[in-house]
Amino acid sequence: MIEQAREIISMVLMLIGSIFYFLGTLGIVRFPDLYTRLHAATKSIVIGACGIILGVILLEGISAASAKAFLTMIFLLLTAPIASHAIARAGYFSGAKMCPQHVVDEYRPHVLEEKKEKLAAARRVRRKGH
Amino acid sequence: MMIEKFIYIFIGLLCMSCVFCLYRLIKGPSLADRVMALNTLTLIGVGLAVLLGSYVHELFIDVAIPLALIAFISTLVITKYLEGEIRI
Repeated sequence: MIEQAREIISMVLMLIGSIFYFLGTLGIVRFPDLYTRLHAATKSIVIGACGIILGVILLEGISAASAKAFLTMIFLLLTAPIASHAIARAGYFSGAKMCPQHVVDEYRPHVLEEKKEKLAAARRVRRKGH
Repeated sequence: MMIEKFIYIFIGLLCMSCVFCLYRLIKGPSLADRVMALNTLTLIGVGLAVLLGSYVHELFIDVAIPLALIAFISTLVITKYLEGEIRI
């Protein structure tokens, strides 16, 4: 009885995980823009991987393989946000377009201000050198 | 075991998502789109490795950890290159 319940719960977890994978990549195909695509990709794919790994852990029980799978899940949870942040930043600075319906870009003033400060610092250094 | 009945559904869903990622990898307008699609493909590989590890052999789970590591580090390096902080 308990064995059957454990198998059913792990199957449900794996099904949820693979459906999240499918929907996330469907978002990658359908969304109009790099930033919205990242929004679809990162979160749902990390949730999908976590679902599959939790299902496998529940199916295997306590063993070396399930410990490795658990470590993989923790590693994914730690690193996927950093990777998606880096991709969004690189896309912004290498000129990825926003979709035409976008309303606001709150990062542009910060970038301009930083550039102005950097120019002013360079000018100060040059004046000191003279 | 119930997994013998359902494993084909899971693997089919993951393969469909691989096809979607390949579409974005080929067509993606900017380079950052392609980097994102590659990162997502390797994460799908992690999911497939863990699924096969539960069904075929335990050793497949060992593949998942290096795949996740390589995806993370290569993504960081390529994005640093795109930002212009690394010159080749």
